[in-house]
Amino acid sequence: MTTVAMLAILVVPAAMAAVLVVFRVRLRRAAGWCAGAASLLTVVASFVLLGDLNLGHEPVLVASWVPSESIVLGLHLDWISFPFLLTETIVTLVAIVYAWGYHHTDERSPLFYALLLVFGIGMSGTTLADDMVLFYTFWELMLVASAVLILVWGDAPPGGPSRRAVTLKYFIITHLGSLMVLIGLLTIYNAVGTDTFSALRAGHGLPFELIPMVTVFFLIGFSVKMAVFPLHIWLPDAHTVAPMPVTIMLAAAMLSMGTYGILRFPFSLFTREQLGGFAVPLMIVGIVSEIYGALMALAEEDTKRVVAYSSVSQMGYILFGLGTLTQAGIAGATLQVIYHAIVKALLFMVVGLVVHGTGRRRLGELGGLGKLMPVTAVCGAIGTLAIAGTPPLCLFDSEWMIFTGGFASGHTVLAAVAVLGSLLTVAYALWFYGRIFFGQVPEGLHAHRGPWALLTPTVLLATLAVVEGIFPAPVFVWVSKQVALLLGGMP
Amino acid sequence: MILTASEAEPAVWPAALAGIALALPLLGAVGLAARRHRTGSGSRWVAAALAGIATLGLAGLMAVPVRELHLVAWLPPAGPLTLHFGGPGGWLAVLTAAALTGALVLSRSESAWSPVLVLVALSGANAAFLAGDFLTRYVALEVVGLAVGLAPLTVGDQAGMDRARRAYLWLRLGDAGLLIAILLLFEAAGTLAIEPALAAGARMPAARVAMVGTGLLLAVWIKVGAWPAHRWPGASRGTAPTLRTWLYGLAVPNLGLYLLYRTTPLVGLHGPLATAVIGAGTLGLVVLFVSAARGAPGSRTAVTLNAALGCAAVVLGPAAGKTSVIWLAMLATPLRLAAWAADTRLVGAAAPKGQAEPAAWLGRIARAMSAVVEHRVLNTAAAGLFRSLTGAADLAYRVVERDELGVWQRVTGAALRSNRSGHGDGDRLLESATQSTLAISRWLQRRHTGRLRRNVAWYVIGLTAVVVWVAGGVW
Amino acid sequence: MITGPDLVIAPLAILLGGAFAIYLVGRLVTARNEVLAVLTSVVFALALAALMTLTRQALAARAGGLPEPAWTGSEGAGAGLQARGGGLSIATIAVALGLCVSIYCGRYLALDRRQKVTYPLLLLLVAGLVGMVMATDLFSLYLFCELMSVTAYVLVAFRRHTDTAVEAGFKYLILGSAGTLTMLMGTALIYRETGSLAIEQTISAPGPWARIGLAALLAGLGVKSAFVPAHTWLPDAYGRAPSSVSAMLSGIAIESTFYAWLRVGLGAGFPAAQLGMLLMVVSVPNMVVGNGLALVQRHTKRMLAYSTIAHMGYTMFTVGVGLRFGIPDAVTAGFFLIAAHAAMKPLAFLCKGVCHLHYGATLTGELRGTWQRTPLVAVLFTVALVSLAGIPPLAGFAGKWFILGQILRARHWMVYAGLAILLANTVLSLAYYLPVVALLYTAPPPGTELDQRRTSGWMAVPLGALGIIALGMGLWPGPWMQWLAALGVAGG
Repeated sequence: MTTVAMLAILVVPAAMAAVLVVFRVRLRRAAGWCAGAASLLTVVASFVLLGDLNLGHEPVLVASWVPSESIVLGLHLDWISFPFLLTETIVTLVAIVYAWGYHHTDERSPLFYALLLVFGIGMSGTTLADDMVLFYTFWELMLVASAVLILVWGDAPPGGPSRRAVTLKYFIITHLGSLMVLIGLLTIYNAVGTDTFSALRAGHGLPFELIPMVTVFFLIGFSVKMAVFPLHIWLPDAHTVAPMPVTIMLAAAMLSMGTYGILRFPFSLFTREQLGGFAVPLMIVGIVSEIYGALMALAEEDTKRVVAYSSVSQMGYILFGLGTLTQAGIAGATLQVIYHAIVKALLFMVVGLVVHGTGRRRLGELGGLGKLMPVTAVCGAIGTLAIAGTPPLCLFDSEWMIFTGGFASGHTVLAAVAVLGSLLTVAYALWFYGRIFFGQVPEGLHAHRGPWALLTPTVLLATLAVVEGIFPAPVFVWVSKQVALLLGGMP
Repeated sequence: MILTASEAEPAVWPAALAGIALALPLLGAVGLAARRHRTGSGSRWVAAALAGIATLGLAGLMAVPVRELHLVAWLPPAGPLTLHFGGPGGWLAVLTAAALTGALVLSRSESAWSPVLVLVALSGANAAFLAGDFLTRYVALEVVGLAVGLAPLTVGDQAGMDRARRAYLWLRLGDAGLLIAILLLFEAAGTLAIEPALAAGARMPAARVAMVGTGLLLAVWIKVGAWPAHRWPGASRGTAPTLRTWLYGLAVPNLGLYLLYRTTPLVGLHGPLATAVIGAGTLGLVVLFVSAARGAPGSRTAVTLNAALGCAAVVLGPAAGKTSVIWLAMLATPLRLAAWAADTRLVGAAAPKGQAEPAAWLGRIARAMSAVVEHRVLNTAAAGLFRSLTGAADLAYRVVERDELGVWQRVTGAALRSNRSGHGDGDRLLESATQSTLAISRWLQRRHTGRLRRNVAWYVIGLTAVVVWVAGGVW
Repeated sequence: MITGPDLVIAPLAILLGGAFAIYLVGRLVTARNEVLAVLTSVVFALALAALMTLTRQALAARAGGLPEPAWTGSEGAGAGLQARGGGLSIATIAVALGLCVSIYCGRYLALDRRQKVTYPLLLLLVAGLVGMVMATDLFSLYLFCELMSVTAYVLVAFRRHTDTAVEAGFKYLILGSAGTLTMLMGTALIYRETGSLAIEQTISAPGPWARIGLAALLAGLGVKSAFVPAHTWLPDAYGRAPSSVSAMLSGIAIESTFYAWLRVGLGAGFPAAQLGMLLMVVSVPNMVVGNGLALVQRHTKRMLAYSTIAHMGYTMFTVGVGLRFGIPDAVTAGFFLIAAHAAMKPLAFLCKGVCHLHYGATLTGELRGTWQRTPLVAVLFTVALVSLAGIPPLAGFAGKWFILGQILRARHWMVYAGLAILLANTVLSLAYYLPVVALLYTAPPPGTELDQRRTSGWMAVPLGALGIIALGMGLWPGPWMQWLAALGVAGG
């Protein structure tokens, strides 16, 4: 049953995507519904797998591929990958529903939805993969699908770089990161002789002097995907130019794949002693990213870019949490991934509602929308307060854990700087919200209510942010189960 | 909800009373918010009634024998949330809630949102006064801070948004310091319960104690509104009377004073930190007194009084011990209320007898004092001293609050420029890499293609190289 | 069932005989393009069947520890053919590719219309190639190499009414002949020293003539394998030839001469480690020049030709590492890349040929609107280019995976440096593959007619077959690697 569920997460969207491509003429109008149905099935399957995990089993599926090189393909789910899988399937579903309202139906719509599904498969496959070949294949699939989506359906703001330039930059930089990851993977493969992660969990025979080198490759490669400073340069343009459903998936789910990679590779293979030297650099890079992203968000004029830079800042928090190498810090970082997905998707949806309703996307041209778009304003308020780390909303819980971890790591000055740096997050969040929803309504600004397809997921996510903030315990429990698998077992 | 009592007694009464004190105002706020278009001025009376019931509940809690109440474990790693009854905190809570009841009853004009906000803030303030562990206190203070931040928005104009942002950022700054202190204590003690955490904090190395003390002081300083962080209450200009009088003028300063009371041992009765704090507080008092004596306009009087009381508190705390802080808080409550009330003309033109204008008598004292020193030389010197001190205060205000030197603008402008240039740099780097690669390609293209003779020449060179390699003894 | 030594010569005989037969048929019976195409395909199919049988026998022989089947000519001359593992793999690839191209020409020759000579020339080309990789003595090697080269010169200059094609063929002729003449000189020098023409002669104490001779042989074969800086004939030749010819040549021609280079070097007793080091060093300019120059090309076929040089560089590097550090699996990975490249590059060329046939596209910019006009070709072209860029799950990625996996086993700074260059070049290659992929789907400039042409079945079938192979090698590389390893390509 559970192997069927695991396969369903990958196969059902793939089959639906194929159907959408082949029957693209006939399914022009129904494409969105089909994609949504497939995505809903993946979410259901994820919950089925949760049930199995709660019973203590870890679903596994294995097939031999190149026996002479002992390369085996496998799928596997454990507590490390589950939060990411669930986040990613839910974000895909929400993005597809949002696309129903945002995307204009034309003859290319089936291809658009098919590519969204393929993008989702790339992310699910990365979390489910139990061997290097599948992991890397799905990793690249994420990149290819999102690049095509940006290239064909993106809308570049006038005066900025063209879609082609943005896509090429995005592709090349991310591909370089993937190559670093590939080198790390292959080095381990050479040392162990087999490519399944299960075998690696049993014990790797990596020579001691190679561990720092491999860790550096992994960290750089995954940091490119996470878009922390200074490897973030692909993110602002890519997130701004991509169509809104794709931006939602990019910001909320794909960035978290980098975190998953860091947890899966250096953190579950090596012990805390072996990784000890990386703690301070990671924490410093996290702080710099946090502050830099916040400052940039404060300075930007395009609404989507503001939220894009806030992603850079939030990833800085996450990297800081990971760098503390403590139980609280890593659990907090994982929690931050989940909650950031909710809040970031919410914020992008609010921006999408504003742009859709008014036709304008620059902060200077907006204002006073609080009265004209009340539901959007409330959802935006929840999103803004959440990202500013206000209790009892969800991101406060994860930031609390991250800062606890920071102080527990012993580097109190760095932790204090991180806490003070969070004030910049408050500043840009309030600045952003105030300029859009308060003040005078500029002349010529007409706002009409968004369609239900745009409002429903927004309200849903806002509710989720509040509920998760007040009842964080279930997700806490999931996340705490993973820490036993990391860093050689935490004390 | 897991309710346990620290003594083997039925915990029903304390739980019920705690629910009345904490949850009832919050529920009332939600209800009033939902029906705010219907009730009109009736909401004021509903809010007053709820505040009165909460006051009674708090008073009742002073009488129960149970001292502690454990609530749900909200963030599992942080342990259960606890409430602590009895002690000066309880009395201060009763006083504050009673003050709100009175303010709501006596107020003449309230906006639609102010009862909601004050009830939310009451709920948070009660939780903060009764908190037994630092997490509860922090979350409660954040809730109050949120109410403070939302209050200027009820005015409804763009300036209100700016004021709201400024006030909220100041409070968040203080809370950031509090958070640092809390987390340091948590790490040292392993628990968030206040008493054990403070005890463990006292045993930390001196540098850490200094960090904790600084964080706590930051929070306290901003909340009580001591100079130079005294301008943020001015953000309440134009808001409804209860918001201005009670929320800005009483609740937050009392919370700050209570925080100071609980944590004074850590801030220290001696040592360089305490000396610096006393010195700064005294300086603040002097500056404020002088600026008041200059005949500041009436609307700043309440703020100035607030600031003066705050400076007095931070002086008294390290100097005279924590009890003095509590007495100050208790005694200052009616004083504050009166000052702010006069400020907003809470009471109508027919003021009851005995309620003099505080601004007036403060000004009178100041003028009397300056008349005493009305000697020519002393006058000149005093005038010079006045000018320099008030100039310093004004300068600090202008730079910090109104950013007249453009510091903040320069920071964001620099950030924007560095963003553009950083991006520009990254893009230029990619661009130049691409251009140089293309240039090399084109150079190779020109050199290696087209001419047959040149191609043959390259062939000969290659051949010679291979011959030299192979025949040159490698084999 | 013919067994034994006769089977070894069967493929070559079928191809040579077929060439003459088809020429006669074309002259005497009918000159219809489709008929000749079918007949040529039949000849290729027969040759392929013979090769498959031979491969099975060779595998059985290897498993049994016996030497592979060989055929010797008249006694004393020492000339002969042997079904060695590496040679068999390359011969099979060449014949299969010839089959695809001959079916493709069933429609493509509508442009050139000289089918009476095209098909025989094609058969002779493949025959020369097969003979070269199966030869056991230096003179046969030279003869078959010359046969292959001369037919290649003619086929390159096929569009003789255009100046550029003739100039390209001429340049190819000059440089190629220089190469083969150097080979001949080398052969003579070695024969002078050792008295034997066999390839597998370990010259234990080489004198100066033997040294120079071997050097000449390696240099000559290097020119034909497009080792930089002697590669300059390739972009012109493959760029100006008809697409079918370019597909055939770039698919397997220079790889086969590279194989001969390896055979000759290792067979003469040159230490494998030094040979590997030489390959590692020489491969770097190949990669850099190939990718670097491909970046600025606007002419599609020239771009693909330069990318062939780059892929040659990757193969050379892998084989070099394998020889230098004694990792046989690295050599096998290199052959896997040869096989993968032989599926991807001809597919790209053939797709380009369809575009040229239907709407005269030569420059990359003229490829706009392929998806709108011939969607099947656009998809297959994308498959080819994406596979060449090394994106999973296609053949190019599988090749890259195996290469990286094997060469990382050698922990040496030169390997890491070369690896960095290889990866940088792979990323660089994205910058010229991806824009072409994007152009395929861009709408054509307004004013062009958008009638959907149906791709003729003659062309669709080989394109589809190659596409399926590229995909299959990417998804299931296991059997291919096993086949190559069992054939013992690592042993030469």
